[in-house]
Amino acid sequence: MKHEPVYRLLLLGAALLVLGICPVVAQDIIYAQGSTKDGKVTEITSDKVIFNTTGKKAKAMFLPRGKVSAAFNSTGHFLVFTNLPGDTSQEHMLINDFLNNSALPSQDKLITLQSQVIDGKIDKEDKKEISYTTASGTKGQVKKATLAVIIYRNGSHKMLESEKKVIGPLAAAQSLNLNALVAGSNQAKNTADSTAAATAAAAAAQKADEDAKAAAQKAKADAAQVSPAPTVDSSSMANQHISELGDVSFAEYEQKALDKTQDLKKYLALLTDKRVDWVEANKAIDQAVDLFVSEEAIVETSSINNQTVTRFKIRDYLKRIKLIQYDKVEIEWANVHYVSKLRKGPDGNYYGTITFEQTFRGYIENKLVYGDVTRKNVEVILKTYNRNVEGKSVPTWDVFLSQIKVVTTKSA
Amino acid sequence: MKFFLSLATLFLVGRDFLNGQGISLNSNRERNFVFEVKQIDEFFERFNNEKNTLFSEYVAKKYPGITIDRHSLVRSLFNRENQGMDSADRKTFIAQVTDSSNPVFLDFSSNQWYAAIDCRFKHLGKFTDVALVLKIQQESNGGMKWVIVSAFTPQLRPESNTKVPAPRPNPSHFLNPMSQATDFMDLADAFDEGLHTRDYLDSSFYRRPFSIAFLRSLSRQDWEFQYVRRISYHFFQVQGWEFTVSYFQRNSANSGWLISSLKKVTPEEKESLREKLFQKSL
Repeated sequence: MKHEPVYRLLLLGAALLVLGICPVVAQDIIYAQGSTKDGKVTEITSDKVIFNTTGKKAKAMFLPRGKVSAAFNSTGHFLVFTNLPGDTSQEHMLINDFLNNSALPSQDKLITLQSQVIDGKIDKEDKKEISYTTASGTKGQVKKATLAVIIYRNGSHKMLESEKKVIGPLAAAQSLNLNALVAGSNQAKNTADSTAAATAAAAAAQKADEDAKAAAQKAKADAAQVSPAPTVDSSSMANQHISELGDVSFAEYEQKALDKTQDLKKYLALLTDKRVDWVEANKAIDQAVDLFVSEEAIVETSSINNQTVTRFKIRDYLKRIKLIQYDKVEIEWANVHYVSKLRKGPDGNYYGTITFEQTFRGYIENKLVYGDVTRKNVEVILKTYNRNVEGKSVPTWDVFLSQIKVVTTKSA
Repeated sequence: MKFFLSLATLFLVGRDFLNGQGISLNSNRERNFVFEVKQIDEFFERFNNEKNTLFSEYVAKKYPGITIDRHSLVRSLFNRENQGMDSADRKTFIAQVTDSSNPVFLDFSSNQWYAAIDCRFKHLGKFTDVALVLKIQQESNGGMKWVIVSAFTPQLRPESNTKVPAPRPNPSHFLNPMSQATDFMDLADAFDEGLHTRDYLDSSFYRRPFSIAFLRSLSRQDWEFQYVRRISYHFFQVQGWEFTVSYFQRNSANSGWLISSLKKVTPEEKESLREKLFQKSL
């Protein structure tokens, strides 16, 4: 199909943006260098934005993609061309959503000049202010002077500032949209993975019902997470010393903390090995729990894909891991980790954190049944105590693992 | 080997360009992990250009020709995708805090910064959000803890403090000074049946009508803590400015805890913003 360039037509639309304020519109509209063009966008290639004009003499035309800053469709979906992600799959995800998602938004969207995005229902709008209620029931007001764009539930939108000022906040909103799309995609994939996993698990161990298996399997995957960071060159703040302990340096604390996480990894590996009998596995659980400051230590797991948060005491968490075993487990580490400073608490103990990432894959009968990438934040506590050495009380210290926050960032 | 790249370039360019310069990256994932401001503690490290950090050692090893300067580091802490932020303000701010004759550093132990936390509760069977504001408090032994300064939910009407119990002396329960690293998951303990909630409160909490309303409602045990939904940090430490740090999850070197908004303010405006924060209207 042959398309005609439309530079000259852009001039006709330029007047709409001269004042930097647009009327409410409920059709596809393309914003290009201070001008606008109405039409139905049909295709977006690497260098063109192709659209059908409206009216009696409708025809296919195109704009060079480099000239287009943003576009809104008639159902309130938008694209900020100048800020599309470098990742091709993510870019396609946004473009496909723009071209094909015909669902109207469930809420009004208020995007501020400070790039805050407020989703809710507009209760009242006047010349100066908007009152709204969020999905959680929170009521709020926002001055229109602070807003960049309003996207209404009926698919129309209103730009309250010039294209130049609006693009940044709109790009921030686009990032949120992308996160939601990625989350939705991952959730769908996880659902598929979970189904496959449950089936495979049922075949491998007929005693447990499928639901329990799936839950335990997820718990196990989250746990292998807890495993240790790599032994590489990322010592941080090596000059921090703990005055009460004389020569204890940050490096010593760091090494001991990493040793503990390494030990935990070994025990988790035992629990995931189907060749290990339950007596031995229970012993591994006891030894793993000993690495922690107390039985009250909590593992909290969540995902950026949804709002589900689960909390287990460490022993319960390890028991769940024991329930399902893979034929083969692959654990990959990013070979860097972040170790925070130590900070003294009111109880005189010192608190720190180790952050690292892990990719986990579990196989049954050579089939990948579960995989994820997780970010682990492991709280560590350096406790000081006195030890009796030849009748003398000698101050000493040890490091214990404490709370663990696990965030699943994506499927592996 | 020397590479003619600035630190700012490292944050701006993509993997392909770096590879094109002959810089061997272990992986894009590794680079993004290092460059991401993973914890708010790391935000402090970079803002203050602390030495011997993961970031500084990684850059020294991977890009030996590059010197880390504080100006570039502070600039890298802004959310680059927020083009709505006034670039003149940003430049002025960076120039002010990195002024070699009078540099401004952030202080973790200061009570002039706050964690604003949206928590999901179940209230009378319905999910409800409560906005908490926390700050760091220093103790007599030199230790620190997070304390809850205010609580706000539009579900409750503000109340006076005439019938509220006094702050508990010598509290035994606390949020340790690294609670932020695990997204304040210990808040679950603070609201567990309301038994020890008062241990976690700052004395100023009892002066805020919305906070008192929440505390009274808690005592009726019809609130059940679920989880932390969202966290942002608000800094009032730099004279003439207020800025907010939010978390940006994305596959990019410019990710993690970054400055999402920056406001030039008078002292009066700063106080006004602080009060608005406590009532969730910032």
